[in-house]
Amino acid sequence: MKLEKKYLLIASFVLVLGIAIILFTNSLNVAAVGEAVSCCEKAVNGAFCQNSPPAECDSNFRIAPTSCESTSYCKQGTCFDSQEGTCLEGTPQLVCQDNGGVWDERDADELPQCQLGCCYIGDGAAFVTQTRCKKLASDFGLETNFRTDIKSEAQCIASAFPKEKGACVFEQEFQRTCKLLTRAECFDLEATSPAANVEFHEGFLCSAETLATNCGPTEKTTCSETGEVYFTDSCGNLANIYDAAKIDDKEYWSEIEEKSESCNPDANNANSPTCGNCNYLLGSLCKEFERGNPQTTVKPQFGDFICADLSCEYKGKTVEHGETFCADSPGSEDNLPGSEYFRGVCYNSEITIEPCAGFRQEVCVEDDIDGFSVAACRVNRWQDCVAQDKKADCENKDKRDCVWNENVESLLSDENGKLLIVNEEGKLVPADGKEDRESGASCLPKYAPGLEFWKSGRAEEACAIAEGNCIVKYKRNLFLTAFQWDCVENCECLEDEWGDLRNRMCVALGDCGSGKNYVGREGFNKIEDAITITKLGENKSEG
Amino acid sequence: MGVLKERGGQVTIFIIIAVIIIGIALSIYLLVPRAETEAVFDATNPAGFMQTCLEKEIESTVETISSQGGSIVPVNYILYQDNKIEYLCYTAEWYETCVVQQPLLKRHIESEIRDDIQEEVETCFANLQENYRDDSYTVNLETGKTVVELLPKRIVTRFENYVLTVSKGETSRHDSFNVILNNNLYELSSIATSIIDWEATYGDAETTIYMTYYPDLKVEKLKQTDGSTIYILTDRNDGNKFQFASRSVAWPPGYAESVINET
Repeated sequence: MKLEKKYLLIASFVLVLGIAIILFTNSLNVAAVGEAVSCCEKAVNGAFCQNSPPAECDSNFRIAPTSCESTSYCKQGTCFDSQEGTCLEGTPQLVCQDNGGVWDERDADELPQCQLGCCYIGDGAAFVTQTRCKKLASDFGLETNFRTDIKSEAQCIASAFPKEKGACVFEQEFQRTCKLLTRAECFDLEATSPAANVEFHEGFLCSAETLATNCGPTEKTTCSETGEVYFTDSCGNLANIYDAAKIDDKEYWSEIEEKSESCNPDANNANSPTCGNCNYLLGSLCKEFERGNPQTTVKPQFGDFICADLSCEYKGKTVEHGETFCADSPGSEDNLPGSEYFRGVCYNSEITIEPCAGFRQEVCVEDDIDGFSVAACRVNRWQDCVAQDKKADCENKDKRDCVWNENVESLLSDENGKLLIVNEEGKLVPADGKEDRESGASCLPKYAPGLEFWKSGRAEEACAIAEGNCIVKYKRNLFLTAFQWDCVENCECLEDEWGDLRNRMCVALGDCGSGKNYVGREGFNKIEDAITITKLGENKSEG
Repeated sequence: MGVLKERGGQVTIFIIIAVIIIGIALSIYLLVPRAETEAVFDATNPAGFMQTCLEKEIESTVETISSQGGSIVPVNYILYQDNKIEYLCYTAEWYETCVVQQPLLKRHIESEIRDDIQEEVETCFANLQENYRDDSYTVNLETGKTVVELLPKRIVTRFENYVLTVSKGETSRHDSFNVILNNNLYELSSIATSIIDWEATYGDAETTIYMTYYPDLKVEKLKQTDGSTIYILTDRNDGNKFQFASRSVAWPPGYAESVINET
């Protein structure tokens, strides 16, 4: 780009760079500063208790020229459902009361009716309120026990112990038969059925030879409620966890064995033909063997059930059950316009893709813990990058997601509009006039945000942050011909690289500048379109 | 040779006729609308008549409600795949946590189902009486109220204080009418309430926690460009779904006013 030949008689030029200021808008994003906000009891869109401009309030309901927190009716508090025994914080008074709840402005942990305790129900436990515990008892038709001395959910669940089961032997239709039950269920049987001579043998299986019942070992298996493969006896009762090696072991068919004492307790045993000790958290679950089903690839040695493999396949790679990962997304590596971040989740052999917040307001981050991938969508903290004038502040990862770029022209200038350059301490300071304009630095977003550039308004202002002027000066060369002018100041602005550099800064600011979008389609404007060249004039005295 | 040709021609005709018959049968099967299951009247079992009469209606209502965030007619909603999905927690503001809109979700769903099926309940009772009258019974119906209750793995619709007295020679009294639908809306609405609690407190909810606790549950979280989030809860065993929306701690696109001014 040797422009000087065209403008030999001109003393100076101005190159006005306005890269990427034409394309974009941002009208939706922020309510105008200073706009009056009222508390609408009900907004025109039907939402209750919204801080909105008065025009958005439903005029048939109360409107207060203050925030909802300052009103009596929309003040948020805890809503207690006296029927269900649940407490929900962040509920406005009127929403709670209109729906039949009991409202209190205090937090849930300050309310006596919201105090949580351990509710033992059946074989399980839940950390709930006392009212909820009673409701669960009625919903499930089970007896409950509520303990207030247990103060955490983990402690509550850990303290739940299944009632000891055993062989409930009885006589029915002249046969000595058996059911695997709890002690209470066993003795209830006597009262509720024609069973006679009921005996309970805690810890024993119905197939135990010593009990002399008509229930014996089989080669059949089934899925238990907890997700393991279990042997079943000839009466249809559960025996122990399926272990092919022990099918003829009389002892294994006599007494109940714990999961932790069964085959391979520390592995998931997915598609093991011999062991049914599945573990959902480790990635397996009891399912019926099905030929052609990728979850059940191996036929069990006995029975029809196997520990199905819950891992997933994503683009030719195996993802373990429970793993989360950053999913592929076109253009997100370069944060191109239209690109977004996605998180993939593998559960139960199924991948679900969760989009992170739009406009790259969230980015996907991924790490692995001992080879187990964990990913999350987290907020993209780019908002104050361009305002940083120190390298240390710019690169403070605890506060923001920015990148410090040196050897570029600073986007910031001092109060007089003077150029800023970087000093030895990595801080932007006013230039003393000797340094060239590329001795500056700029703090730019690490993940360029998206802008609503198709709407007229604020995106244009946002992109204009990278707008700049470069005044190029020429001097007549007295030793050569009368028409020869030599560039003497800011000559680098005449090179292609300068335009490219400015464009890269624009692109890093957001959906600005010239380039491709996420599907690879080139934008309407080229870099050259964003460069305006203006002749300022000639100063003969400098001749 | 001539005999062979003749036989070949017969076979062709048979094939053509067979194809025509199969075509007609298929057309009838595909084009003629199949009759819907009608409630079968049995004078000794009026409760069975009510179960059959209302089952489809309740099922359809539950399906609609489940796909619309718990409401038959969503008021404050987001449109997703042509479905109006009610916001159960909502704020129109940026950066703010949402305000709970439906704190007693289970109760709300129960009342929505009750209100939506009420007309059909009356029609079914009227049909029941009509059937008795057609069988020369004298019928008297005392009406009461309809109660819908979400319970674990089922939805129970009870008709409290509905008393049906029928007489034809001898008199019989029926006062126990229940319609039971197998459905996991109880479980799914409980999960939804927990997610709302997270959204109202933290502005987001982590889906994997729920899937780790409940192997049969699938939770999908779909963020929309306006800052809304759609949650779809699915029971992996029977495909029952419940979907709802929330808008909490939404981030506006673009730069804040202050940053632009500063530069």
